[in-house]
Amino acid sequence: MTKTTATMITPDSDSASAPLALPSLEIRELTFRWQSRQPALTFPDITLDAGDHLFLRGASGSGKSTLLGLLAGLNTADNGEIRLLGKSIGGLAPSARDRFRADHIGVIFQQFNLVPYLTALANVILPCQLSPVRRDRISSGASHSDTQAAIHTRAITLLTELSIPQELHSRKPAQLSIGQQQRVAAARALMGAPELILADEPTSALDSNNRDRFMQLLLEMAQQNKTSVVFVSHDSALAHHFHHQIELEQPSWLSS
Amino acid sequence: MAILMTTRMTAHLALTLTKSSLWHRRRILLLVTLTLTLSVSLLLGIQYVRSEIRQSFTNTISNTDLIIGARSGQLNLLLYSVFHIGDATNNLSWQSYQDLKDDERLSWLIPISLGDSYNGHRVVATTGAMFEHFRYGRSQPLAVQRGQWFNDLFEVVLGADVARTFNHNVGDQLIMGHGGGSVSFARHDSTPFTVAGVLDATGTPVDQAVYISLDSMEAMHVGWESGVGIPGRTLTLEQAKQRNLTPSNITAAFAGVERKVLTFRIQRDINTYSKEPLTAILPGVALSELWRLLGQFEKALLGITGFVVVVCLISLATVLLTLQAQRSAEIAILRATGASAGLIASLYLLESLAIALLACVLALALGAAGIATVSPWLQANYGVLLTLRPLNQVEWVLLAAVPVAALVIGLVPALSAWRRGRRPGWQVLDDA
Repeated sequence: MTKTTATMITPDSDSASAPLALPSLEIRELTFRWQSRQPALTFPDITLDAGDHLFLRGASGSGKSTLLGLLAGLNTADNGEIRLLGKSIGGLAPSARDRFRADHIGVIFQQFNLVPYLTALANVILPCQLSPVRRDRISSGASHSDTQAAIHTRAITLLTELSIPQELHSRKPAQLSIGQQQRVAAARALMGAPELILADEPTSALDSNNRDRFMQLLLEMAQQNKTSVVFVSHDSALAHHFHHQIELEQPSWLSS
Repeated sequence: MAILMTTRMTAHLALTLTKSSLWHRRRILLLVTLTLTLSVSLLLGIQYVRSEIRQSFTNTISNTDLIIGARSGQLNLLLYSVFHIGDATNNLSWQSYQDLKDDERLSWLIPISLGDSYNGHRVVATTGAMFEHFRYGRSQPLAVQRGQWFNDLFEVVLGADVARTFNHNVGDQLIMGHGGGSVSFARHDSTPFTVAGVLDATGTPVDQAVYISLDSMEAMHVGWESGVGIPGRTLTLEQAKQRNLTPSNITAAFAGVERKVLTFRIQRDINTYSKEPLTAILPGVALSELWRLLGQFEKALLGITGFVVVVCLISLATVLLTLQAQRSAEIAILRATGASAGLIASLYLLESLAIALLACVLALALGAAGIATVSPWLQANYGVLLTLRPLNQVEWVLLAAVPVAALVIGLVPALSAWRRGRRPGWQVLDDA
């Protein structure tokens, strides 16, 4: 049995602030194996308070993406427990996990984040079409046509705040630059203010200017929404943007 | 209530996504839709035309109990006497015709004599009995639209299509060609005919024929014993009226039987007639033999067309599966945004169904246009009437089978997408 060790570094300034709500994320004794004959990946215990931003750093093979898959409910753990917003997602049926993800989680991938045949705006609206919860957060109790208008307005606002100019909103992803595509993806993840955003190296394809701008915009807006962010990257230069950071170590059976 | 709302939202989203996705991939999908359209119209067209041709053939003759001609096969006799397809092998002597006429078991007889043509249309020499006793469709008699049935030498009655094609009217003069074929080199120039009347359209070979009296047929062939008209030996109208124009033989005769139970005995008597080898056929029996003969061919054709449709559906599956490889990123995004595996699978089913439905609608339009275009030509050349009518039950079932089959085909990528969706994976791209 191999072990992944982790260290949790928490700046002093944040340790003073007491949690206001249930922790957005709790992981206990989590292990996962892709195939039954493979040694298991083990993950450190993590607790992330609501609204906090976590930086997960690790080399390839350390299980960063696997952990995000487990958190999103796209993978299921072999052992251990994941509690999101106080709810254990290990015990949920696949359809309930899909529902939970639609309602409470925004996801940003490394690349190819957008549905190619939908416009930038339609891509941003997508979460509200999959989740009544996120739709209602934008316009609670409004009539049908008002709801549509409110969602539309909110999507345009988000895109504009993420500095996507108005004339690009009706374009297909293929007509946008990589940086613009990633910011549209960030807008989609923020749409309907989910409690948790999972980001898997979203800046790896960006140059340093674009990268810093992306980080700044994403985290600022997450802060406004009180959305927790779990951000995975191998680039430790980004760590200073976050409240907490955890280093995932490469399992010894991979490095040997 | 909330669940119902969610279901409606999901259904709406599935439709929106399908629509955008189809439009996004329209070029390749249009090609697939086109091949499917062509194969469906082929399948439907063959089924439609075959039932229409049957209807048309069955409508051609009615109430005639026996067709009598020289000894030959029953199909040959049926085809040349009723459908004007092919030629008689031999003739029926006037003496035999008189003997038939004396048979009291036959209530009526229509003699016909074939051989000449008018610009490719058969000249049928007959008597007033044709107008009186011939029936087609549902026992409908012939009707004169303008003018009247012939009652003199060198008078002609035109089928509806002949009159329309050549824009002939009562009183026009026309020249018959000698022998069959659309271009006659030998023409009966010295004996012009006058149009006495034009028949109502019947939708049968009658529309394509011209009718003259047996006497006229005889009269215009005086002086033609060598096969060409010898000038000076042909008759004028005045000379013809002086002569005895009883023909020595005719081509065939239609007969009605007084008591239907006797039909088979009369048929046997005619078939065993000692003075001349004759054949009597029952039109219904001959038609059913025709269907038996054509039936095998039709089934083979329908089978082949069925395979063409299957091949097209398989190519649809191939295209969908190929597209699926390109769609893994998009599917991962939808899954990560909260779309269920079922929603992803439904996208494939909907796309497949939409393509099939579009192909069916296009095939219907193409088929209708095709039939509208071909039917005048078919009627002019083969006397077969194709009408545009609503689809019958068999055709609807055949048509409905296409979207059902497409749904089954759509299940292949749908199930594989569903399985992928349920298999653990962060971004499907990564673990591919």
